[in-house]
This record gives sequence, structure tokens and C-alpha cells, in this order.
Amino acid sequence: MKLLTHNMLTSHVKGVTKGYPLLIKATEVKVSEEEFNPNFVSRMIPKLEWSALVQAADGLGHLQDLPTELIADYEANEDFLRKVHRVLLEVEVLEGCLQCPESGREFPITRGVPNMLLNEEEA
Amino acid sequence: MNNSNCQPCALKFYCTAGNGMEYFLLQEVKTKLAAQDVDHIPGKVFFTTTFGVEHVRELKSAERLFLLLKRYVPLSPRTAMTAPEIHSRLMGDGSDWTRAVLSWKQLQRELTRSDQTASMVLAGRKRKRKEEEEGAVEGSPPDKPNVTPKRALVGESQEIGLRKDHLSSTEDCESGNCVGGDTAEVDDIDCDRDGGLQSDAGGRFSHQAPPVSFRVSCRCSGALSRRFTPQDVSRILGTAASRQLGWRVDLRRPDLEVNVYISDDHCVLGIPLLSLPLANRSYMKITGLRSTVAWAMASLSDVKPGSRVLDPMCGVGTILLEAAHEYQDAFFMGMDIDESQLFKACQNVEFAKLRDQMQLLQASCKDIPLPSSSVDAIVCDVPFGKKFGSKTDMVASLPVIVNEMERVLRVGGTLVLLLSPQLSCLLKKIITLQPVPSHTQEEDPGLGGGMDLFQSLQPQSYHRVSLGAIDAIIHKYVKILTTRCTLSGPDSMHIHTQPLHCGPRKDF
Repeated sequence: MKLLTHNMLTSHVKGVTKGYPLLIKATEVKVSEEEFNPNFVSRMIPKLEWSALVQAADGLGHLQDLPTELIADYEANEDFLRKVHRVLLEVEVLEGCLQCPESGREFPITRGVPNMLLNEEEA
Repeated sequence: MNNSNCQPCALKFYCTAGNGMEYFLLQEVKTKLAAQDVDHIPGKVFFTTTFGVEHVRELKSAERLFLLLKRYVPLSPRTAMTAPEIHSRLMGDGSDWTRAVLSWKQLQRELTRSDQTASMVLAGRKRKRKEEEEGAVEGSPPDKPNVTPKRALVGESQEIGLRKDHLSSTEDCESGNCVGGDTAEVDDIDCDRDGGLQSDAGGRFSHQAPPVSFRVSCRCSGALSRRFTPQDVSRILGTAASRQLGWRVDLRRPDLEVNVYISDDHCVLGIPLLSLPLANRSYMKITGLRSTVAWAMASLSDVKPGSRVLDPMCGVGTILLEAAHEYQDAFFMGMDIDESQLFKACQNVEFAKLRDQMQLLQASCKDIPLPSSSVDAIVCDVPFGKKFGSKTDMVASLPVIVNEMERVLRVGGTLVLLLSPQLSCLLKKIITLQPVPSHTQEEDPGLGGGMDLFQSLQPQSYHRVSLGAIDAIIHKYVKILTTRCTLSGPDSMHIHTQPLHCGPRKDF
């Protein structure tokens, strides 16, 4: 699970009003090199929840020098885009779980794939 | 391609297409190949393009690719040609055939050069075609009895008996006097002769020195099929090609095949350019939905750079993979409830090297773990019922599923679904009742006087396509924001479209 995905995931446990952002509890994290595509990164940025991204990266110990606030005029700023690229696409949680901030319900991550299925009572 | 001295030549091609796919292929050839003289009959799209064959072979909505040899429209349909007529109209002086084989040779050279994977090898040497696949998929004239495609092969009979050593020079063939014997340096093809073929500076290719070996393969229907079998037609044309052009019959492993298709309304002759259908993708490891249909769905979903595209029942991920291969700078999310499907989808993502564009989740489509209005496009092959427990389950679940999809889709976003005929009818009924919100003025006065807000799916188009044994219908919707508003002045909301009828919400 990459942080780009995590940035969108929401818990839908019954009764939860805002199951976002999910807390990451990782037991295995992989960092791999992915081809840098500045167009892709700059297009993804406007749709991101920036604080959730920062929080997630920080929680994994991969915040490094990513700014805690989104900077203006990022499209032309290759340096910045590279930092975002690293955090969005190169850091991957392979094993662990995601925890709903309201209900505490944990969703396992196995081989990089989060399992968001709810039980009958939770749906 | 040593094209430096010549203008690129415009070649005539045609592609076969599954039933219902002609629409998509017509668009595709125009968009990708700047095609001219675009025309179609059921199951076949004809076009002319100057684009190289390495581009033509990238067509995504086509089944097989052919070089057009000849196309003939009978003056009096439903009157079968006689044997001499078959010869004169489809062979004539053989000039079309000769021209075609020269183009074909050039294309084979280009294809060798552009080859990237072992599975897409030249038609000349590897014949792995599946007969059933061709028979099932190619559109056939709707009201004609369709002769099962027996691959009628020309008999290797002594009567033909011509064993010319070399292909005659083009001039001789043009005039119908084929002379065998001398080494025709076929690679010294004159550029002017056929409007653009380039002489090949490299050495002779081994299969050019002897005459081209061939077989004829026919499909006939209509009046002609009652008079002649496919074998008869093949024999007539095969004999003619041997005698007039000096081609050598080879049933087992010919250099090229001439496909002949004759119905009451059309005669089409062509040379297949690749042994495998274009629908076989080099980047797809585990197949699911037919790749052409998957691509067609992706093409409807309006994916742009920056789009977030979701498939909430992705299976092995076919549609998203086709979309990711076609559209740049978008992000694709596949969801499925089934672990084993996701495992295959993972393999597909790895194999296609799309890890940075496509991510997978295990989740239920009835409970999509994404915020509302967070996705730009949704594509989905809705299970027809067999995989979803039972058909009745799917019928009962469809409203809930579509509701969830509508929720996560942003206004202006596109929804593209593939449905069985039964589910298609059901969905059409549901959509017109789609969702009346719980907020009415009485319940929630805070919304503002006299204003009812509801979001809904507006149908854009329907496309019926064949999946081989069965048909399916593609539905395309755009999510719109509509209001029933009695306010005027600065508070009134812009109505995007005519408001849809909404009645009381029914419990399904």
C-alpha cells in the first residue's frame, strides 16, 4: 500500500462519522525506486489531504525533508516534486494494519494489499 | 524503416472487430492513425493510413489485422457469381494480388523490426491461430446463414504443377505474363512502381528468393455458398494465383495466406499480417474480460492526466490495465472482495510494470472505503450473477452497488459499466428513480428555502457488444448535480441539465 492510496482510504465502520485518516501500524515497509514522473505528481497534489500525508509519512519515519505545509507554485519546483514523489510512490507498507481513528477497528495489510472488508455487524 | 527517400505510402488495411466493436474501432483508427477512407461492414473496418504498421498493430479495439488485397461489391447482390466471374472479379489480371504481396513483404520487414515480444511473430513462420476464436468473434452478416469457417485449402494438385523458382518481376506480372526462371532480385523493388515501396539495401531475405508460398482460405455465405463450397472458391483462386503469378501452393506452412470473405453484399480479400490477434496483449499476463471490450470501456471513461479511476469489482484488473496502458498520468485503483482475484491482479500489475500507477485493495463494492466524491471515473465489469453467488443476488444487490459508485464519484465524473442484458434492463429502470435524498425542505430547513439538492447519474450512451458466446451492454453515465429550485436571483443554482423525474424512493 503506497501513501497515495492511504491518503484516500476511509473507514466505513457503522456509526463512524469520519473514519479518516487511518492510522498506519506497519510491521514491514519497503522503499523502492520508481521512475519519477513530474506530471503525474503535480496532478495528484491538488487532490491530496496534505496533513494526512505528512502524518502518515512521519509515522513511518519517512518524512525526511517533506514540507509540512504545501508550498505554492509547486508545479515548477522539481526539487519539491521529487520529495512528494518519494513519499507518495516509493514508500510502501507491505505488512501491518490500518486503524480506524474512531472505532479502533484494525484493517490488516497483507503483501501490500489492505483488507477493508467489514463484518456484517460493522457494515 | 529506410523511408528517407520516399514519402510514406498510404496503405489500405482492414481489421475484423467483434460485434458492436465497430463503433470503437472507427473512432480509434481516425484518432490514432489519421485514417482516411474509413468504412465498415458488419465485423470489418476498412481504412487507409500512412502510419507505419508498428502503429497500426497497436490498435486496441480490433481483433485481427489484414492488408487489403481487394474489395468488391457485387452489382447484383444475391446472385451468385459463376466460376469464371469469381476468377475475373477477384483475380482479374492479378495486379491487385501482385501489388498486395509487395506491400505485404515490406510490412513483414517492418514488423520484424518492430517486434518486441516473441508472441507477436511474423505470419509467415508461426501459425498459432485458433479457429474457434475467429469463428466466434468476427461479426457475420446478420441475416445470412453463416458457413462455419472451414479453412478451405487449395488442393495441392498436380494440375497446378508450376514450380517456378523465383517470383517474376513485377512488370511481367502486371501484364499477366509470368516468366519464371531467372533470379529476380526482388529486393530491388522500384520505388516508383507502387507508389512508395523502398528498395532494400540489405541483403536478400531467404523467403524472397523462391516464389512466395501461399494458401487461400475462404468464408462464404449467401447465394454463392449455395453454389460453391469454400474449397471450390479456394481452388479457383489458388489455381489462378499459381498460374498467373507463379506463387507456390503450400498448405502447411505458407509464407502468406489470402483470406477471402464472400457474402451476398460484400467480397473482401486480404492478407493477415500477424499470426496472433491484436486482442492478444503482450502486457497482459492473466486474462479476464476480453481486452478489446475492456479497452472500449476505458475509452469511454474520459480519463485525463490527474484522473483517479476506480474499478470496485476489478477481478484480475483487465479494464484498469488497458486504461493505464492507454492513458498517462492517471491513478488507478482496483478493488475486489476476492483474494485470489486480487492475487492475479497483483501479478498483472507487476507484469505490466504499472506498480506506480495502479494500486489494489480488498474491499466490498457495497461499502467502498473512500470518501464521497473522491473519484473521477469508475469503470466496472459487473458480474453477471454466476460469480456473485447467484443471479438473484446480483439483481437484488445492483441498486446498492450503483448507489455506492454514485456516492464516491465526483460531480462531472464518468461511470462506465458492463452489464448482462438482464441487469442492463434493470439498471435503466433504477436510474430513472435515482436517488431521492432524505433531505427535503421539510426535514432540513437549514438547506435554504425551496431548494432540493440531489445528485444523479445521467445516461450518456449504451453500446451492445459481443463477448463471444453472450452479449453485454456498456452503459456510460455522467454524474450531474441537479436541483429542483424555485428560487430566482442570486441564490438560484445553475441547472446543469433538465431535472430528472424523481419519485418517492423505493426500497429494493
